[in-house]
Amino acid sequence: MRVLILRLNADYFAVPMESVHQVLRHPQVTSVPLSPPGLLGVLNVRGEIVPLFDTGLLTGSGALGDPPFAVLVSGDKDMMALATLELPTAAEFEAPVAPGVRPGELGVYSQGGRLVTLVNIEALVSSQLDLSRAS
Amino acid sequence: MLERMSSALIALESAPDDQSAVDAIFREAHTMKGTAGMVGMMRVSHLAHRLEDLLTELRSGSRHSTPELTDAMLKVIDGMGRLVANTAQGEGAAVDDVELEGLLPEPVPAQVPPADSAPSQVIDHSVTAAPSPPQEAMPESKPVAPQAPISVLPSNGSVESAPPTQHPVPVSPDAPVSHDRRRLDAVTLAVPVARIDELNRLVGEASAAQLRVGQVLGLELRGDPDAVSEYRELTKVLNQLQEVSERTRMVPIGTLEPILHRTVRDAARHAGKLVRWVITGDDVEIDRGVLEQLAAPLQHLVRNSVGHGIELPARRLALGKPEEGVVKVHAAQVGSKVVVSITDDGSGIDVTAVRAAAAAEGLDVTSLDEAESLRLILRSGVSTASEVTAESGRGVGLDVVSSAVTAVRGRLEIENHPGLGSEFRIVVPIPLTIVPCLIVAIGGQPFALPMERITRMLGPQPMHVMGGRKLAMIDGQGVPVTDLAALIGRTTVGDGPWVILGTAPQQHAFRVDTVLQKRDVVVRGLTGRLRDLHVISGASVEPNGSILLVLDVVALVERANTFVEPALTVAQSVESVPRAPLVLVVDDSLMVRELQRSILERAGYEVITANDGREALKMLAEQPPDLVVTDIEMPNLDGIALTVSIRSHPRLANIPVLIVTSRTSEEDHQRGLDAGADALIVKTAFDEAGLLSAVSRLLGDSRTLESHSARAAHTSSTPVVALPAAAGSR
Repeated sequence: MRVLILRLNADYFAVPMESVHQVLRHPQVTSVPLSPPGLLGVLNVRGEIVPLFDTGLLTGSGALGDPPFAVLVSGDKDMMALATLELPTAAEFEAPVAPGVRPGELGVYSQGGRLVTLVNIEALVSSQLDLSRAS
Repeated sequence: MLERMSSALIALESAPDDQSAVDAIFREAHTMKGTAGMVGMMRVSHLAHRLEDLLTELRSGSRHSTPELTDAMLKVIDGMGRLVANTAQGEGAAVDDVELEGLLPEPVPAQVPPADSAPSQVIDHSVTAAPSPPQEAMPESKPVAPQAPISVLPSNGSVESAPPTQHPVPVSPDAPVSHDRRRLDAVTLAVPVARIDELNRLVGEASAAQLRVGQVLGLELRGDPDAVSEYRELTKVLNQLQEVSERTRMVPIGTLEPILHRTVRDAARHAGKLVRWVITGDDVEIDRGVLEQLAAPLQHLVRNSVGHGIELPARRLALGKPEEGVVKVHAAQVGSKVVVSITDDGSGIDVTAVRAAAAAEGLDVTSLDEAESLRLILRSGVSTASEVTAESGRGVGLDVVSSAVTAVRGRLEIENHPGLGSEFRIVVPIPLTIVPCLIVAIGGQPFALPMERITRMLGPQPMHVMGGRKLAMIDGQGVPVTDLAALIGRTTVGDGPWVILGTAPQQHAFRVDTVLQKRDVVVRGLTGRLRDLHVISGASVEPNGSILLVLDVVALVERANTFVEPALTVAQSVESVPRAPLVLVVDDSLMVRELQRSILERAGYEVITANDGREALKMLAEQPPDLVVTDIEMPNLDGIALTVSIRSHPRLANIPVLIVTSRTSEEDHQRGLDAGADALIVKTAFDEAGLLSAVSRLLGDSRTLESHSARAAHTSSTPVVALPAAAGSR
């Protein structure tokens, strides 16, 4: 499976390449009042207003704050952007070395001497974030 | 055409003496006859001809409009519609047009026409123009009524050949009224929705390509592409193009008026009730796809209002109500939502009966309050109708209505007034709409407040603290005051102006940082996960690519009513306030300095100014700013030397420098960039948006975390890595 690997603080996570549209550098974020901490704000992507999620908070790796990169992915119904600290890298996954534990985790893979957790971003966001609840 | 005929017939029923309504239906019937004949639909043409006969009688006064006649004519028009549809699908035999024709009364025996209206002057081009195909032969089981005389009009449109008493003013397709209609038709164009979607997709692709061009420009110029006026113009035009192309999907809600009016009329006739139909706000626009999906739910709701809501005439009189009930559809645009309400002045909803019906279906209703009980009628199987009719009472329908509304990301609200009536409200977000807004800065970020609820603006007024809440006396009324920044979780920056929402006695004053401007905003409804955001009703992608959030004023007032401001004074809270970015403007022209100061301060920046490079260096040593905006040509020390000095100073080297110059030569630009400037704007191409965009970008790259969160202006994200689009992606 082809994936894109994101560094989130000290951890690495991957999303299936088939869901990835684009990587944005220095995303210009408009912060949204009263939104929960997992939502960093919204982005203008080709005229569409897309949420930018603090992937670090969603995965439990710690808040990312002002991310230098964002990965634009498609969810089940709409697009979303995932904050990340480095330019993501593409990789090929074969068999997992451990199963995923938390909601949205599909499995843990060994890649280049590091462990990377493959996530289903839709399930991860849905399980970790309820935007209808004001912060 | 058939829809217009139905609408006009229903209108005629309310005003039987309205000759213009008869004329309008006559014209439609005549055109339909001719058009159908031209394309070989002789059965449709024949039925239109029969309608024409009846309308001729109505015009001459030899026959009068009755509900029964309207019923019959409407059924024939419906049948004609089915014939047209079936013919198009190759099922021409599926409709019994003989039976349909039998619904119409026989013609009133015609009077002998005067000798001067000889048949030789009567020509019907519409029917004789096309030969009858064998399979579409006229039915022989019914006598064919004499053909109504159709005069050929002279070129000036006057009618001279036929006396009005014997041959009421005939109208040919070439009559002036038809010209009017053709003119209207000429300004509209039916385009397949798929083609519009394709257009929208291509506009999106053009925007993506433009972003990539911006990236290349940025690399080539080693600066901000928005500093190039042509690039900014391209951005602006593409954003406008996107708005226009998306608006092509919008249609007025009044498009559904004929079908809803007909539904109400038929339901009232069926139930023996007297109902007046009212529609307002029918010019409110909504996405065509959404409206198509709302057609059936709206029909169901108006049918319910007649069937379940409006009482029988005798019952209404006994209750002291007018004999005639009212069913009203009202559409309104509220921020980035459209609200369509269906109200009636009937009996309202019997909540006790709803609870009983729900309990009979096995539901536990013991812990439900009034509002929750009311919503039980949206569940499948729950009906309060005492009998099942063709119109209602099966306990299916409102659940389907609710599902259909949810499917278009809307919600269904119910308001009940026992004995007085009920109201069903469909609230749907709209993808795009233009809303007059007041643009205000709150916590350093611009927001749009829809003008519709704003009644006035005031400077700061004396306040009283009562029970932990702030009140001000405005026009003799105590008006609650809330700091909007505090309300939405931002940090207040001072004693700014007040925006008053609502009218007395339910006014609420909100303190904002500054009022920036008043203008129309193209508002997009937020979709997907973003649609449930608190206090945000929509957003706008501004011409420079930034996002302007539109506040939901109703939600703001609701939140303010239960919100207790932190007991911090402004002075106490300053410690935690992210300071506004400080910009040093350097120019030897007082006018330019003050113009730039004004623009930057309005955008929320703190500004200090210097007359030349030397003075600027002194100020930089005392108070390093977040950004330097400098001219090139200045006495004592010019902008190039100033930039070189900044870059060579360890403490100042990281301060971004924006050169604003009237010099247009490539050589000068290169000198500026070689000196270490981060971007350059040519004064001849200088405008407010260009300056703010460049400042925003430069501060965006270097600003502190605090200022980042408080920043107002944003620009589009820059793609640096383009990956193959995912399968199934847009």
